[in-house]
Amino acid sequence: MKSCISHFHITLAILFLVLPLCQSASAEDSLILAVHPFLSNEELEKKFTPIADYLGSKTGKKIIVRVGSSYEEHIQYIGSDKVDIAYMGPASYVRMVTKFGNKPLLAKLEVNGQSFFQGNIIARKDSGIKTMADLLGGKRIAFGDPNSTMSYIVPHYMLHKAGVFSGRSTEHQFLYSHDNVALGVLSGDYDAGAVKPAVFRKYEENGLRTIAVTPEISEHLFVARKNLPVELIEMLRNAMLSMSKETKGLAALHAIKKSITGLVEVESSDYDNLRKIILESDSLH
Amino acid sequence: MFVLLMLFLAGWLIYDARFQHEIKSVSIETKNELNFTSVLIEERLQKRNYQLANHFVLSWGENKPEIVEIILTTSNGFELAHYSSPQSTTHKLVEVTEIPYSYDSVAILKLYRSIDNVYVAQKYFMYQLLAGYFLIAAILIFLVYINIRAQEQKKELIYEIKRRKQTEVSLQEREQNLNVTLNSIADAVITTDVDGNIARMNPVAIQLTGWSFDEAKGQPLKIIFPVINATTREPIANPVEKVLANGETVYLSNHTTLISRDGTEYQIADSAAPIRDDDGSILGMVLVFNDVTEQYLLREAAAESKKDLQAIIDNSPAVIYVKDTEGRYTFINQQFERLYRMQREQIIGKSDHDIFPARTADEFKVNFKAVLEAGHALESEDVASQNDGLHTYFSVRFPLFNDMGHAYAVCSISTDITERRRQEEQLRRSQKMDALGKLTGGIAHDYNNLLGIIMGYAEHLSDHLASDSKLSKYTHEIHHAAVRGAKLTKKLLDFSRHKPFDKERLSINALLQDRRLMLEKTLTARIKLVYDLANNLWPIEVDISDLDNAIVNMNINALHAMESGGQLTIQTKNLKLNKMDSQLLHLDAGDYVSLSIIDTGCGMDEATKEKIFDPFFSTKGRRGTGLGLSQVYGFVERSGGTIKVYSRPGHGSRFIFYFPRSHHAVTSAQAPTLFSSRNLEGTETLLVVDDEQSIVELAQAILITRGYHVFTANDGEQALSILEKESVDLLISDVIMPNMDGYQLAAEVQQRYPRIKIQLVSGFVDDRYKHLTNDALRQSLIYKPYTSNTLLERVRTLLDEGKTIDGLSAQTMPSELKKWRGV
Repeated sequence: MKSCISHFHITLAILFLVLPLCQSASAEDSLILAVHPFLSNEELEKKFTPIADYLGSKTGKKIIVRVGSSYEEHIQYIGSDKVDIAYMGPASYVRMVTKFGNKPLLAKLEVNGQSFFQGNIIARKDSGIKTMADLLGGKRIAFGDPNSTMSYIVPHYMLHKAGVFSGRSTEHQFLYSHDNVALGVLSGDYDAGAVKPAVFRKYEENGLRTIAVTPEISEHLFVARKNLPVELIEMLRNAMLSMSKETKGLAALHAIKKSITGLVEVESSDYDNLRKIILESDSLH
Repeated sequence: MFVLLMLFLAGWLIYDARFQHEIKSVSIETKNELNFTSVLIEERLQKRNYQLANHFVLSWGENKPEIVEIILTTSNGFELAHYSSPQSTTHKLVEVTEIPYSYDSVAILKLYRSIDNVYVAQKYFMYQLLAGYFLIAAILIFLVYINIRAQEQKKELIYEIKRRKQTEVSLQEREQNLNVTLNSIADAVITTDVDGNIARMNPVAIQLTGWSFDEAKGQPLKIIFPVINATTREPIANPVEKVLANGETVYLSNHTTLISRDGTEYQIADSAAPIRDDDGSILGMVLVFNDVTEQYLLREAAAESKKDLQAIIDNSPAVIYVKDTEGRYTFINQQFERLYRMQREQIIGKSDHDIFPARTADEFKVNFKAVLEAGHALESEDVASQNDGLHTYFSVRFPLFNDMGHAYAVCSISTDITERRRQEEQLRRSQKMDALGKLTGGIAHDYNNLLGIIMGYAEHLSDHLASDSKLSKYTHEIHHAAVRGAKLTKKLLDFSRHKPFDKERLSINALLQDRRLMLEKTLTARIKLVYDLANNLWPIEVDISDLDNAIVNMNINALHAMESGGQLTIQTKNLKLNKMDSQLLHLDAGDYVSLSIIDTGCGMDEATKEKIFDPFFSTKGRRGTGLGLSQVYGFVERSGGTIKVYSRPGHGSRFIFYFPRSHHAVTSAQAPTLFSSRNLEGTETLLVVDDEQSIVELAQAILITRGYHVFTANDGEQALSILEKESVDLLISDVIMPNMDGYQLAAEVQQRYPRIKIQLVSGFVDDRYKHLTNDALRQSLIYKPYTSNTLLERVRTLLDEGKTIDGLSAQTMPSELKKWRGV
């Protein structure tokens, strides 16, 4: 009986060893494009399937869009090379590298001709708050998502640096959406908030003003599995960099966001300023 | 009105209450919905999910069409959400609620809801209400109308009852008047009901039908009023059916006979008409008729008379026509149609210029105008061309006057007088011939007496001077001249019909065959003689020598007419002349034999044709005596026949002789024997009677020379007185004598002295008293001038026949002579 049990364990061990190989072998034929859940699964699959198909056509592989259940899971899967290709926000990328090390970089977004973006710290025009200094002392601040680069990480760092959170009376709340932040400020429930420029422009007419602008942070990027064949990585990178030159490629990019004008080369150092901010912010907690 | 006003007020209250209720219902519903929704919004706001709250508001508005506008404002007045419907609305309801969230925030939710549907529903409700009003109003009006109508009908009923009472009174009066009227009408009147059964009859109808009203009432009209056609006696369709079926007025024909109940027949004139009420519906029929038997008979008689008159006019031999004053023909008879070979339809209504050539029409117009201008009858003779030549018409044209004395037409009656003219001409010629005959006969008689004396004495001298050749020659010349004179006299007598007539029965065919060679020689070789003789030709009774002479005469005339040659055809035929044909030829109807002598010579014109039979008329100048055809004419007339001549210049001539058929045996055509060598002497006693003394003496000298004993007398009386004294064997008497002619004397002698034989002698035929003697005496007549031998032979023959002669006895003496002689 004992012998039978040991045989069973040996068999399972063989299976565990072989399965990743089989998975790797299967990954050779079909690649997974991982996307973090900044929208619903359905919306994200709709936005990213065109680029997956485009890259598939260029590489001869079938590329499947998969959405992570959370930002953490997303970082975890990429960091542990469980997905072949990944679309990542700047903060998630920095955290992933910090935790799991570098990954092959493919390309980053170019939005309206710029490969970096900024965030806005906003207040109501009729509130009398014009600078971050006006937020000192018992104000309510609204942020988006704790993982969001521009609706929390960078503005929180800036407000903190400005001394807004030095007093205990200042409170902040995550509203989990840039729009909610803007509407919360407008409704008077919050004195200030942090949003991306597009949301600010959307609600500016309703009575918002920018009291501070974040530094330029490199745009979202695509990374590859570390152990993905180099030829394939190169093939994917080349395909991405030349996407905007092809109608199909540009259309696939526009499916993600209308304002994307192309994918450009990316370096890990492009995120050094953000890496510094995150590092300092983490030290504050 | 009050009811209507109350209804309107009630309706309005219902309308308003319903509206308020609907608004209230909507308001409550809206509040409920607002409260429910505010909970959901509060939940989102509580989670600070402003965006979701916004989305919820917009989604809510989009899913609720009745929502006009939703405004979600925060406590600081910020419009967190604002939905505005693209649909326009007129009426809306607003509800507001507060939504507290967190510890110190309050949002205000304001909802505008459209209540147009409430207004629309209310509008339709108003329509229904109005429809209800109208319906109620209509019902009310109808009820009012029914009520008013009932009132009116009641009034009308009262009026109708009153009117009917008046009508009944009026009808009774009219009934009385109608009865009086009907009973007073001279015509018969019958009325029927709509089924054709008798409803009413007046006395005249009762009289004519023979039915009393009580018996006839309710009976079908066909039984009471049986009618037939007066002419065909066939039943006539009773008018009742036609009138009642078609509603037409029916008039029976003029030939309708009503048979009354007792069988009496009445000629009636009637009409039948429907009786209609004021609406035009047929209630029955009224039949009005009257007895027109008398008028019918008069009309029939007039029609018959008119028919007769028409027949008279149409069958009249005269050509009759009537023209109106414009010269258009209004009437013509059948003779007119025959004359102009046109039908009546081609003439009536037309003028002469429409029918005839312009020249003829102009002549007719002149005659027509002359009558109208004269105003009385005008006569004229007109000539018209017919198939058989020109015809002469005697026309009388006279105007026809109307009652005002104005001429309205001209009538013409034209009689064809062509035949009459011809007959008159023939009569004229006949009279001329007769006069000439009498003249020449009288001369010939005296001349023959003279010639007889000359011939007699010349012969007598010749006997006595036989020894002296010179004197004998002189006497022979005298005798020869006398013989020539006698021939001339014979020709004159042949024409004048006073020639002695030696009638014999013979066949013309036989005579012609016998004379053929002689005729061919006469005609010479340049003229061909053709015989066309009928088989089994009937015999005729004529003087052979006359016929012989006539044929030769005609041949000689034909020879002269065909100087350059030609053909002479002699044709014979048997003819049966009917009455009409014989009248045209002026002969009695019966069987005739025709002898046609047809030449292809020069022919004759009308003038020549008229005169060819006149004595001494000749176309041959000195070559002819002008007596040839006169002789022929006299011969044919004597034979009881006639001659027709057809000739035109250049077309030859055709002479047709008609001889009556003889039913006796035929005598052979032989030339008479003129001389005899028998013994002519005798001793008997003879009495010679002649008013010419020289003749008496000559006869006495001839007879005495032959041994006879001769007494002489110059008239009958003298002869009878001699016979009373002397015994005489033979009486030789002239026929023509004063006081008592030869026939009278012969009759007297035959009566007194039957044994005495009688020989009559005459210079020409006088038939005045020939009926007094028998045929034998007439047949044995000796014509002057006779030769001695002729006289002696005849005397000897008679004396040798016996002691008495056949013939006249007292028993056979004609009654007229007995009377004349006092027997």
